[in-house]
Amino acid sequence: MLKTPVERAAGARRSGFRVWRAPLTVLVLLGLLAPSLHAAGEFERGDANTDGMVNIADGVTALEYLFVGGVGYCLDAMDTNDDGDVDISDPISLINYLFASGPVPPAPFGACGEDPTPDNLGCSSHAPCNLGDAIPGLTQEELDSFLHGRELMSHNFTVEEGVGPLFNATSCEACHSTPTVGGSAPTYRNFFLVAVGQPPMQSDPPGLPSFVLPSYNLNDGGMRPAMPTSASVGGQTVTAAQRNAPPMFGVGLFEFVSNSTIIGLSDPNDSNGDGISGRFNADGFGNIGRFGYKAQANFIEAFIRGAAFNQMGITTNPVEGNSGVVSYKYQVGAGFNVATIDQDGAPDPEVSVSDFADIIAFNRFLAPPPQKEFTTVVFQGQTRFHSLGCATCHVPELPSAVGPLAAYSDLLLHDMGPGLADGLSMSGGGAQFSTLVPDHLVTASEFRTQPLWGVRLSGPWLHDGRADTLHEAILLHGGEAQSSRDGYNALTPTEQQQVIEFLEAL
Amino acid sequence: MSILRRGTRLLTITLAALTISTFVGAEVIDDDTPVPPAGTPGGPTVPLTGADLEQWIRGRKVFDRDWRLDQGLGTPELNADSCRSCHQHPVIGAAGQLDTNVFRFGADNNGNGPFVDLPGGQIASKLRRVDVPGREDANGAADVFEVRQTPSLLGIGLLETIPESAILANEDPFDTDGDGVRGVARMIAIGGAFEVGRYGWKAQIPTVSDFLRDAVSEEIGITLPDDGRGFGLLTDSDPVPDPEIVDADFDDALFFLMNLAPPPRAGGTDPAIPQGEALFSTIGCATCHIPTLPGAGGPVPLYSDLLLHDIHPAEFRGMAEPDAPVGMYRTPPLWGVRDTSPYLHDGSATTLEDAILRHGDEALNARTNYEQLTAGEQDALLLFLEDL
Repeated sequence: MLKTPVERAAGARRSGFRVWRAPLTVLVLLGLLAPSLHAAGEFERGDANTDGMVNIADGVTALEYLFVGGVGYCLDAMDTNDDGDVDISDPISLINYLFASGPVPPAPFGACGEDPTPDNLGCSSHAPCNLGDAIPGLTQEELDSFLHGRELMSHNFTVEEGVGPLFNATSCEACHSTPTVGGSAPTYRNFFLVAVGQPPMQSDPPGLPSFVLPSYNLNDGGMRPAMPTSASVGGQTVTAAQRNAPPMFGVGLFEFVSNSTIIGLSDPNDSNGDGISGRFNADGFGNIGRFGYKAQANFIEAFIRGAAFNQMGITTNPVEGNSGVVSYKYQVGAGFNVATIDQDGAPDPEVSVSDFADIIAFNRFLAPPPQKEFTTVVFQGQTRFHSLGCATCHVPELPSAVGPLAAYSDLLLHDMGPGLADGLSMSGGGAQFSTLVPDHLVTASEFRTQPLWGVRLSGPWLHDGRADTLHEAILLHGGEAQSSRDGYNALTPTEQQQVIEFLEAL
Repeated sequence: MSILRRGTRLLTITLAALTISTFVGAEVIDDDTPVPPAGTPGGPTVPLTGADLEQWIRGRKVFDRDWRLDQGLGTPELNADSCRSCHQHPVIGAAGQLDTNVFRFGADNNGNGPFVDLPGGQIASKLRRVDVPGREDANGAADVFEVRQTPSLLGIGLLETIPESAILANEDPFDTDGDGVRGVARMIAIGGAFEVGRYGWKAQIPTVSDFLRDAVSEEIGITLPDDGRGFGLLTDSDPVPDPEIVDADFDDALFFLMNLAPPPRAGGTDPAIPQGEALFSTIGCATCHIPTLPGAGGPVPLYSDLLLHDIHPAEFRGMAEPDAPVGMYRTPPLWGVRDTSPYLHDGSATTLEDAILRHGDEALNARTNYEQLTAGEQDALLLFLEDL
C-alpha cells in the first residue's frame, strides 16, 4: 500500500531530502557536483543515501540498512571498501576516510561510474548519476513500487491486454522515452487535441471520451476517428491543436507543493502592475491544478489515469480514492473518482490497482534531472535570466513538503499571446471553475509555465514541439512574456548564448 | 570530503557533457554508440573496416536523425520525423509496434467491390508539420481502411542480391501443380522495363534505394533529387527548398541499409526445434515461406518467396494496387520473426499462433494441417519459429 501524501512527506522529512532543503547557493554548488547524463547503472561509491554527497549521513544510512531494516537504494554505493559485500566494515571504512585520513574508497569515487569489479551487489536507484532514478528518502516499500512501476512504463500492452479500442500508443514509454523512460518524445509522437464549441464551454468531439483524437481504432474496420469539421458538429466551432509529450522527471513532486503556495504566487488581475497575471487552474472541488500544459490535473494519479485511458485505451480503477481523485473529466472521460471502462474484449480494469499504483509511484518519485556544472558563462546567463524577467514566471524554486524544488515554474497559467494560442480552454465550463477565482476560465492563449529543470533534455520545445532549439522557444514567447522575449532578442549573440547555457545547465 | 576537491575531479566529466549542449530531439545514436558485432541484430552484415565502417556509421546517424521543420520535415504531411521513429524494435533498423502503423483508405462499395481509389490517393497521414493546421483525413466517401505495420529492415540488402529468375521460378499463378498455392511476382514498370517488386507489404518496390526514397518522402516528408525511377517526392509544399536531403546523406543511409545484418537464428538447442523445422515443410508452410533463396553471396535464409499470395477469406477488405488486388500481400520473410510481434500486415495477430490461425485461402491447407497436429507438434513448430 502506498502511504498518503502526508505520511510520505513526514517520512521524507525524517529520512533525508537534504538536497531539497538546501538554499539556492548550495543547490548551485551541487550543480557543480551533478554529472550530466550517464548510462543507467552508474553510482558513486560511498554515497549510500544517493543524495549526491559522500558524508557521515551515508554511514548512518549503511548502519540503518544493516541493523534496523533501512533502505538499500544502491548496495554497490554502500559497499564503500568494494569487497563485494555490504557489512559493518563499509561504514567503518567510510568513517576512516572521512575523519581519520583513511584510504580513499575505490572507483567509482569522486564521479559517477560503473563498478569495475564484478560482485553480486546491485544498484536499484542512484538519482545523482542516472536520469530516471528515484528521489532519495523513500521507504523500501516505496522504492520497490517505484522500480516495478518503471518496468511497467516500458510494458508494451497488447490488444488482448486491453489496448484500444481507440489509442495513440501501446506503452507509456512510447511517448515518455527521451532520453530515457519517463522523458519526453520527438514530434512523431505528437497527437491532436480537438474541442467542439467556443471557449470556455468546449466539449469532446462526438463519440470520443476526451479532447484527445486517437490515431488508431480497433473497431469500425480500423477506421480512425475523423478530425471533426464544423459541418460534422452542427456548425459549431472546431478547434484542434497538436501536443508534444512532456517530460515527467521531477513532475510528481509538484504534488508536494501546497495549494496556498500556488495561490500565493498568482496575480490574476495583475495587481502589482508588472504585466504578468498568473492564474491557477482548478476543478471546482478545491483542487489546484499542477499537471499538464494547462495545469488541468490536480493529482499525479488523475493525470496518469487520463493518459492511460485517452492515449492507450487502458482502463483503470481509482487507486487512492478521494485523496487522489480522478477529478477532471477531460482527462479520463469518466466522472469524478470512478473507474474508466471501454468497449473492447479485455475485462476492466485492464491494469490491476496494484500495478497501477506502481506506475503512479514511479511518476510520483521520479527524481528531477541533475543540474550541470555552473560555469562562469552559466552564472552570467543566470543573471540575465533574472534581469530579463524570465524568473517572474519561471520561478527558480518552489517550497514544498519535501523541501525546495528547483523547477523554474510557478505552476500558474499565463497568456502567451496569439502566436502560441491553441484555442483550447481545458476548463470544463465556467461555472465549475468559479469556486476559487470568479473569472477563472482557462483561456485559449494560456499555458502553465513549463518547468525548466532538465529542459536541455526535452527538445523539441513548447506545447506542440514547434521549437527545435531553446533559442527559437524563447523567441516564440508572446503575451505576458513579450517584454522578456524582446529583451532577450535585443541581446548580442554572446549574451544570448549565456542565457542558453544557463538553461542547458538546469 | 570537500566540495572543491570533488568539483575538480568532476570537471573533466562535466566538460565532456557540455559537448551535447546543442541536444535536440531524441537521437539515440551518437559518435560513441558502439557498432554491434557483424551478423548480430543492429550490426553490419559482415565486418567492416576503414571507409566502409565510417560510411555505415554515418548512415546509421542519418537513419536516426530527427528531421526538423527547418530541414524540410513534412510535405506538410508526415507519419514520422526519423527513420528510427518506426524502425526501432528491438534494435534500430528493425520493426515497429502497433502505435506507428500507417493508414490507407479507399472505397469498395461496402465490401461488394470493386475497390476504387478516391481523390487524394490511399494515404492518410498521421500528423502534419506543427506550423500547418489540421490533419489529412480520409476522403469522406471512404468505406474501407487498412493499417500497415512497420516491417523490419534487418537484412533487406541481401534480398536485392537474389536474382529475378530465382523469384520468378516459384511463380504458379494458375496453380498448375494443383497444391492450392498460387504465387505471382509483382512486376513494377521502371522506365521502359519491368523489375520484380521485393519490398513493401504488396511488393510494390524493387530496390532498397527505391524503398528508402519512398519512405523518406511518404513517411517523413523529405524531398529528394530525381533518380529517374519514379520513387520518392521531388517537391513538396513546405517552405524549405527542394531537395531536402543531400546526396551524401542519402547514400550513407542507403549504405547502412544495404549492409544491415539479417537477424541471426536464436540458436536454441531444444530437439523440438529441428522437429518443428521438419513439420514446417511437411505441413506446407515452406511452400511460400521458402527457407532460402539463392543470393549473390550465397543462400539467403529469408523464409519467403517474395511473391504475392492471397491468404484471406473471401470477405476480406483491404487495399488494391495495380497488379496487387485486394487480399494479395507479399509473403513476409520470417527471419527474425520472434522479435517482430505483432504480426500480419495490420498487426492484428499478437502471437505467432494467432498469425498462423489467421491464414486462409492459399494457406488454408497449411493452416488446417497445423490445426491437426498434436499439441506437442504444434509446440515444436512454434519453438522453431521462435528460433528464427
